[in-house]
Amino acid sequence: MIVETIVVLAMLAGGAALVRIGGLRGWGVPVLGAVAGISAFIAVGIVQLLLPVTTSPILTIALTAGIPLTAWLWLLFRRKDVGVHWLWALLAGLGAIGGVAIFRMLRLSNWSYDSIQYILNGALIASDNFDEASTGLVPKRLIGVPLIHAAGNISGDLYLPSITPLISGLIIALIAWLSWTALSRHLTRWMSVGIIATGLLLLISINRFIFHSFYINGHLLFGLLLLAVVGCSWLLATDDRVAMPALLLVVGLASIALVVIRAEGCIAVALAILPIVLDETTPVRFKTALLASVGATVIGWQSFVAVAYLDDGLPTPFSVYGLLLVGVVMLGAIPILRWTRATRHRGLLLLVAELGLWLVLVILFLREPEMLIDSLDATVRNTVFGAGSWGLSLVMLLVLMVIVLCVSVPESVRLRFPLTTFVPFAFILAYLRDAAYRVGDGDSLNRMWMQLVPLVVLYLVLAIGAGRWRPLRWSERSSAVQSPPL
Amino acid sequence: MVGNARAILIGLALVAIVVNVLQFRTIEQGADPRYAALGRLPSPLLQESLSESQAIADIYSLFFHLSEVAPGSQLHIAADSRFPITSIRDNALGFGRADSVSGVEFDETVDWVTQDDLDTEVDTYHLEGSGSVWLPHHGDVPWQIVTGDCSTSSVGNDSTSFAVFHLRDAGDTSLLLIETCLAPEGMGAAK
Repeated sequence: MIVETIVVLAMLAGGAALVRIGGLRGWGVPVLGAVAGISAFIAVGIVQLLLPVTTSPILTIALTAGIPLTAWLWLLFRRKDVGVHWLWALLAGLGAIGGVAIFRMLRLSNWSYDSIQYILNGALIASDNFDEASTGLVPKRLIGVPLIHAAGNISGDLYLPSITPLISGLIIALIAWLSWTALSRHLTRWMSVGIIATGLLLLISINRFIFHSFYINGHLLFGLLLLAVVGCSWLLATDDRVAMPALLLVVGLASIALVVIRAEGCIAVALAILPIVLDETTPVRFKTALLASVGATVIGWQSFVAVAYLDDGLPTPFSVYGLLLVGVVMLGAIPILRWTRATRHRGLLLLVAELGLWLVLVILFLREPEMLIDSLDATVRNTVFGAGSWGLSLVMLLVLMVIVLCVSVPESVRLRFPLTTFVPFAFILAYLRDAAYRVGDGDSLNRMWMQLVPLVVLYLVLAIGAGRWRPLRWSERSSAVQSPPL
Repeated sequence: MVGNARAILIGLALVAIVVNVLQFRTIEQGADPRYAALGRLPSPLLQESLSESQAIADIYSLFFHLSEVAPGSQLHIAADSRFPITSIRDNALGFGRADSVSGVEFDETVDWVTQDDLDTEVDTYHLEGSGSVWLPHHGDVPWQIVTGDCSTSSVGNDSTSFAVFHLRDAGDTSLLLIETCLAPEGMGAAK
């Protein structure tokens, strides 16, 4: 338990120091701090892996906590405004320790064969052997989840039992903080609390959310960081009271981490940050840093994957080259960020991107119709007829989402775009992996829906609290900050 | 949003919550036990819990066993081995806590031995464990870990050095991890 507590506290303290330096105050510091800490932990791990240094989790822990805390102490010593309320800091720390102790004691862990593969990658990272991992592991399980669990090898546990339920709790806290920040200035305190509580109850009453809260896998972590990227970027555009540097930091770090959590992470991140990159109100310097860091991470990781194929004596798949190209395009887009014609037509460009995904899917369908037909059939059985253990939950969320699309929410395009583009993208993935989705709980897409559910719940809460009825439009042109009409 | 519209949406969300709660138990009863929402590990130790599943034990028991009897070991596998070296390497370096897994050139004529070879050509050895491991393209393959008093002949430092061979008896192909100093003549390439 000692190692696990140290890891969790390192993430919390390091991340909290970062967002506090970024100007954040109040209870957002531990919440966004924990998100920043997890992301920073993974980002540090990526650097360790790509550079000729040890991948020991001890170094990851030390750097994740050490660098931000040193910077924070230095600023505190220079009497900068980075102080924290010690009582609240102590309570946050004790809460984290309590969470670790309780979840370790409960031993609530769900696992499948995939889970063991993630843990195996973690063992290889912890023993400094990940550069010898085969293509059976590297491109499929990546390093995001393994990096977090690698520290479990220090104590012989192989994994950290409390980390997944703590991520689940962090999703709840992040939705609450984002929603409270957005709604509390427009609605009465009790109205805000009521709407947020309704959204959170909706989330935790979903059977699959409870399953994923204890499931050793990357879906919930991916959902958390996608929620952080989209939610914080939405706040950036709609609320000028929240410290911009802290939000930018979280968006940047979470985007980097997302690249190495799931195989589809590169594309999913590209879709999530496209509305930010095309937004003229977002500082060009930040967009440059975002594209540079995410693009470099994509290229670095896919190069590592390509070398793994080379080492195994196998040809590098087309998908690796395609994802390398995505990274190159990100870097190549940096010089044209100041091109205002693109940002002026953000709505149109996003529409083109979304239609492009559908077009790709149609072309793939015409070439091989069985793949899509089988995948759709399995998906309907899983999500509508109960084969995937969702019951009616996804159907009800879909109905609510359709209604919410008729509600005008400021800058809703940032919330909607990653959700609606996921549909064609998910079925394109079936073609890329050359296997149709299957009927049953263990199907990939059946589990991937959880990556979107937290964001859907946030969208619902914001729409209920800060939206107004409007005629349905596919995209929003405006990027200007609007006050929610009440 | 005006009050009535907001109330309707909140009402719909509340209905969804009630439905979620009501269907929770039904989903649990119908789900594959591996995908039930609240699964409790039988043991605080993951590897003990995983061993409860025969399918998982078949894949990893050899490597968990290796990590117990010879942590930090060095494995030398025939470069032309018919077994999937990459799979063995992943698991041995990860769960087996091996220090290194390398491919070495073996004499093709002796890239396998039989149990009789082992019994007649090796004076004293300890069977540290045996079982069955699932390997890609091979299915379940019996395995044995054999050690001896090889402290002076182990490669490198204090770690145990194993040669990985095919142990073939009566048509069955097994995986033999034999400490290199015990390897019969002709298997010396791994020494």
